Amino acid sequence: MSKSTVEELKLELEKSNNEIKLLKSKYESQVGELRSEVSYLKEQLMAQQDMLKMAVDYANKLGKELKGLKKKIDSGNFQSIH
Amino acid sequence: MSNDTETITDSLQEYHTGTHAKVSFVEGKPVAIVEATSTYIPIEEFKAIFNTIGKLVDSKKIAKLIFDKRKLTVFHQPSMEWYFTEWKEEMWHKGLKTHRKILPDNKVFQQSVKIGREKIREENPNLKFNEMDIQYKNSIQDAIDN
Repeated sequence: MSKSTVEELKLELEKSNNEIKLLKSKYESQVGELRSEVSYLKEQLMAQQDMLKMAVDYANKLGKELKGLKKKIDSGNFQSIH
Repeated sequence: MSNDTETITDSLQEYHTGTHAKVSFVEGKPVAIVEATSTYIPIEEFKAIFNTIGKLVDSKKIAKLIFDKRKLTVFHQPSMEWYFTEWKEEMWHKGLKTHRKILPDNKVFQQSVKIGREKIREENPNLKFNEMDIQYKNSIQDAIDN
């Protein structure tokens, strides 16, 4: 191989390496963005689940209190505050 | 602000823009506005945003904070607990005693906020937030004026 051909090949190789580096960096950046998006969605879903659970627990608590109140009324021991 | 058709006669100055919320203040009035810009604010950003507002409270002597939650679909109870039991208490001592909230048109969210607040109130009966002037409004301008 002539000297100029070797130089050309070296140059091509360098170009290819630079392209690989650029693609790798782009890929890593995209993966990073995706990871933070997934983490955001995960936190949001967990918060949503907690929010609904709290609402259901509260509704159950109110249900129990209403049952207790009904029992009091039915037993005749209920005194109105008015 | 979040509602593009909303008319605001006061002049608003942007102070900080985060990924999920932004902070501004009303020129010539001791009023700050925090606006949720997405459906959920992660706790780390939530704390960072409110700590930023704390600096604004110091520098601008903010006495009223408007929290525009219209974009939110989910709230995070631990974030709310921190907000009520720590941040609002600290701000009370700095003179921020008036809070206005604008809620999304979402009944589940509205009820959950009430339940969450009552839970905090039951668990912390001696907090200053029980003495704060807290009202719900339908628009930024109404919240600024009243």
